[in-house]
Amino acid sequence: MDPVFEQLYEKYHDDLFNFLFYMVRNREQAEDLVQEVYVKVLRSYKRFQGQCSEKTWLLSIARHVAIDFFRKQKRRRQWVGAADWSEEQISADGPQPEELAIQNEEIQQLYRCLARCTLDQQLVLVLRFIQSLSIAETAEALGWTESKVKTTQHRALKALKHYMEEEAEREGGACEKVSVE
Amino acid sequence: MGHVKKFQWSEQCIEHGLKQMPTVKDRRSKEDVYQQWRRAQQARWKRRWRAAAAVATVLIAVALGGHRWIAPEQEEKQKAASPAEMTPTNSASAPTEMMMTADAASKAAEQNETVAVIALPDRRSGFVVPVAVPLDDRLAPAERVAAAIDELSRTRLRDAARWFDGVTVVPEAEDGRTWAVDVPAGHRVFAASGKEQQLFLAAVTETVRQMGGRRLHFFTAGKEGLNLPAVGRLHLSKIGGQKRMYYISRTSSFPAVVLIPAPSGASTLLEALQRMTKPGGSGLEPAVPQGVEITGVKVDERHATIRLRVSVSLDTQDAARMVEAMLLTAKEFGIHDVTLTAAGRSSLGSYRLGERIAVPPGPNSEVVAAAGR
Repeated sequence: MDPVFEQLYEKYHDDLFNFLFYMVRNREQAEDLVQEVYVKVLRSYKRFQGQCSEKTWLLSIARHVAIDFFRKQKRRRQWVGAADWSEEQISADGPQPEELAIQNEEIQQLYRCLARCTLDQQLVLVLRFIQSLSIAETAEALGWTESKVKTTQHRALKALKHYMEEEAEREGGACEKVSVE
Repeated sequence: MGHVKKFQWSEQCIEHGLKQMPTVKDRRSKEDVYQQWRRAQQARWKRRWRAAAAVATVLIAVALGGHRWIAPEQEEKQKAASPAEMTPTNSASAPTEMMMTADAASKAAEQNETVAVIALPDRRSGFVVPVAVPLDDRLAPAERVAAAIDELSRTRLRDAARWFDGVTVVPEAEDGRTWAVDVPAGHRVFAASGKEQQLFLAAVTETVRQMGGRRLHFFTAGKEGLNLPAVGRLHLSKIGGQKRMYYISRTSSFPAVVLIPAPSGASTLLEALQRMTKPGGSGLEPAVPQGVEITGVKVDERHATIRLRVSVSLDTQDAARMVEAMLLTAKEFGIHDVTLTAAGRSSLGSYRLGERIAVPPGPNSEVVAAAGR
């Protein structure tokens, strides 16, 4: 087995797969995309100069791969004539994985609402809170400034709260009525 | 008094909830993932070579189909738009220069298997800046330019590289002398200013020249011919065979000092190197700084020995840039490797003196590194 592959797999495979899964929300797609990441990473590994951490470098490649996937999906949708496609509808939801199915309703609701965020918002939320990257690491992985990460994170949390509220309202269970003067 | 709905979760709770999301794991084993990666690699190679073979077959069929060379007046127009004509020191051109021999061209092509040189238009300086882009794999010539553009689009040079969006630049035949340039119908160059159109054409021409090509065959969306309002209608264009020398530009928008080729008008390598001690006009600075003298050049087939007298202390980067400019100028004269000597010195920049140094595949490779991702 290629020693570089082995080393990268041992250190980062779970992170890469988890990131890609939350981006594309489909296990099979995530499997295909993680392969694509390895192809790209191993092609350019010798040129990696350590200007950022190996992990954020890999995640930045995974992010490019995910964005390419969405672009291809968009083109395909346009070809088949899908109307009113927007970045908020890019997810390719497959069956919910077992890991999520066993979670409580609130976590499942968060997972559903996350899909309604824009692509940039999803990237930031997944990297910051699911992958536990710092602001600086997230900025490195996305090739953004730290202030852009902070702004997007702020808007993403606000949007997610709004979607959660909407969903809770629809279901009627998660909200309580209070009186105000 | 009224009723409003209050949401139970704050943004902090949402953050906390996101942190509780489960880790979804790949169910495949490491071995499975590895085998799939291997298969993907092999499939990729097959696709590339099949694509290259298909392009070659189509282009050979087109060539055998009897396409005509362009009419003389059209050729004149194209010559007028070539980068050689646009560079500032062109007035001293020497039409007696020989074109690079087929041997030198094939040697250059061999070197270029893992490198592609893309000339990027730079509106700020008004020059095109050739940059050698290292590629991850040994690629077929038909794929090299596209792979390099792809690499550049991931760096801070992406704005300049966007001029190549959708443009196909591939060799038409195996000898690599004639290259097909196909511009998509809606490309931005058609709506660009006259200066930008000239820069675009200069960039394409310089790219083909750096890749070892000597003729360009223009197409628009697969149909022969390219009509640029500011330049004229182009069909087939021959690249001038004049030897060039390299100058330094500090006025470009690129994230490093860059080397720019300009016609030398020199008949020998010694003459060209000596001219590199003087400014090139239009803001181009000499690549050989004051205090460095070229005292002699001995050419032995494809090898040259350059004797220098260095009477100043040179900054490592300036020294490296000077040596790179000398090597690239030597390459223009068909030289494959160079030995530099200077009394009392063992190195210049990172180059060791007294040893053979191979000429680089192209200039400004450090620009790509400096531009990062």
